[in-house]
Amino acid sequence: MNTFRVDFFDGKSSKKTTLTLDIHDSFIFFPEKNWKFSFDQIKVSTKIKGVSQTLNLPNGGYCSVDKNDIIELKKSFVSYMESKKTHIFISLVLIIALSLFALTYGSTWSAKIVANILPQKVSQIISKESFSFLKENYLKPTKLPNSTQTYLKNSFKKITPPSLHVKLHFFNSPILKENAFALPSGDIILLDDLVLKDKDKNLTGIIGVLGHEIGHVKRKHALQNIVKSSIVGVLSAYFIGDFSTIIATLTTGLVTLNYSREFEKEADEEAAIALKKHGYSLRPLINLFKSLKGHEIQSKLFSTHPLFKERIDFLEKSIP
Amino acid sequence: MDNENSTHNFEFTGNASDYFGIWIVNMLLSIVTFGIYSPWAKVRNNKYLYGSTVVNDSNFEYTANPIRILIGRVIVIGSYIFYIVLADFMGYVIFAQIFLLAFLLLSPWLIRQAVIFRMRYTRYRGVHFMHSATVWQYYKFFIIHIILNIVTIGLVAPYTYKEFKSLILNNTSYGNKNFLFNGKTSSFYILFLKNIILVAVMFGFIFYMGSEYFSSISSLAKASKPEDISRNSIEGILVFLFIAYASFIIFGSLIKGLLEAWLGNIIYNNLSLDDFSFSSDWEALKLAWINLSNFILILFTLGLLYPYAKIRLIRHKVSHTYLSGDNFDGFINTCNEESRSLGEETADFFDFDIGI
Repeated sequence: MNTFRVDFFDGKSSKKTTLTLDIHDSFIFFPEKNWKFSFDQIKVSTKIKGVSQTLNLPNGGYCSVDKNDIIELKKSFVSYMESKKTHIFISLVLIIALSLFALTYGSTWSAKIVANILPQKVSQIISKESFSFLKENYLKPTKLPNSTQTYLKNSFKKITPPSLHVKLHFFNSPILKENAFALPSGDIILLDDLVLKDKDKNLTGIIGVLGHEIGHVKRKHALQNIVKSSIVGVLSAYFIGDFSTIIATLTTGLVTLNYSREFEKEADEEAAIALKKHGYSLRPLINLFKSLKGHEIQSKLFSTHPLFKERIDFLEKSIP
Repeated sequence: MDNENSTHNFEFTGNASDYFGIWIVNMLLSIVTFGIYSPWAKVRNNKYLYGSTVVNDSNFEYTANPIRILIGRVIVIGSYIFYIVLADFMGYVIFAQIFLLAFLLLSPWLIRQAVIFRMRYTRYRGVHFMHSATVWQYYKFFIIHIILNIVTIGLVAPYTYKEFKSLILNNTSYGNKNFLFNGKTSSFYILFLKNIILVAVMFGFIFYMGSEYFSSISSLAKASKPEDISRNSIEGILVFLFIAYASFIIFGSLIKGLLEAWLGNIIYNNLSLDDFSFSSDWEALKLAWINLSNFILILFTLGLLYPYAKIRLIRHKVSHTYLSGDNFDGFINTCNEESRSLGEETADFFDFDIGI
């Protein structure tokens, strides 16, 4: 038999009565009041260390047990977890492992799935906004001769996989300079300065760049990026944003940084495959990267692009 | 018998190591259940903190039902997803704006529901707290004070703040007895003035420390081509940004602590409940220090010391709050836990802090 001293409140007023509570044979007794209740008539709150438990009685009242006493009619998993230092330590290790997993593999994997499920219309809506923003702020009409444009358009068509929706746009941009990028919708934007950078007379380097951008579209990189950064954002806000938004932002930043490296490599792979398949040399693309390499030193610290050296090495290796 | 009421000190009996265990297990279970456990986690967390707050040998209790919180969260997250899909993916901008406007118009009601929720599920000695302000009282408050603040370009803000505290506290009861808050408007003006001075000092400090880097900023502003930007000017700006950020964090947490203490003392020293009266002597400098050191501890342990930081802060506040009065038995419970008003749980999602 277990005996406890408890505070009793009738639920009608704040009057406190101290009572004796006996537990034996699956019954709870209050000798002073001549009350007898079976276990399933009584709702006991799960024990939290250092906090009084409450026992709700069927007569509308409840008792508050001393904070050092434990009344356990049913086993509670949560109390069990909290009760030992080793359990808490294991929980901590699990949390760290699970968070790292969710932020890396978990989010990449789910971003891939979500990006493939999302209808094409979503990509178009997202791209429409960014495209008109770019056009208003950064993009000027191209100055490339018509013959060059036609030549590149034909080569572009040649290396595009038959079922893929892509469209090539030429622009000039004094701000974005030698650059090319792909929107999730399949709109690929090629800037004049980059074309001028290619010293190859057949502009094979540029065709390589186009292959690279087609690779981004084919593998839905931009869309995955958007999905992944929102997943990581939500996850970090949910679990660690609680105590510091700084850490949350930092995590998002670090993960997406790593992300583009991987994607650039995948797109380079696609470019190499497309070039080789259509009988182009990889050399001009390597030369183009080499000439761009000089420009990256200035802002290396903030560059999210993988180092060109890495990419050049990769292409060198791809040459049969 | 003398007429002098006896004074009871609020006491916080929780400790960081117990709270750490609760916090960790809560987090693990929330993660493995993809957040479904989080309402239970919230309830357990609050049960610990309320249950560790003791006055006159009885503790407070948090009695909310996790399932109702879960339903509330599902509704809120559902509408958020609905909004995102409409606005960002489908491009129905106008519809999304209407949705946003509706949310804005609902916010006084939501705040009221959150206060009701918080009060109803707080219990002490078998008696629940209650909040009885009407929906119209909340809308009237917001309409009047928005207009007043526009007309006076914000000069009435301290008064608005006081009236808001009064709206909440003077319509709150413990059982059958009402709270009465009679803080002076002037003390709120003094509080706001101190706040403005402290923030001005912070900006002055940033300006003073950063003055030598201003030349780098102006040179960057003048540069039209990237080639014109020198390495020095970029470094100068980075140093300046560092100084600015560090000052915001350091001054920010110090100021927050000072204001919390001053505000807390204004509230508790002017609050009474029938024959009972509250008082407090939160130490401003102490709270400022706790806030700053907490921020640093949390940052450098990647959040691991959050439970310690939280307990420290609560312990100071609770143990520097007092209640004078004797008739602890004389309150009649008026709350029927089953009679809920619509949407209380959804409002709880926003975790509106009502400061009592």
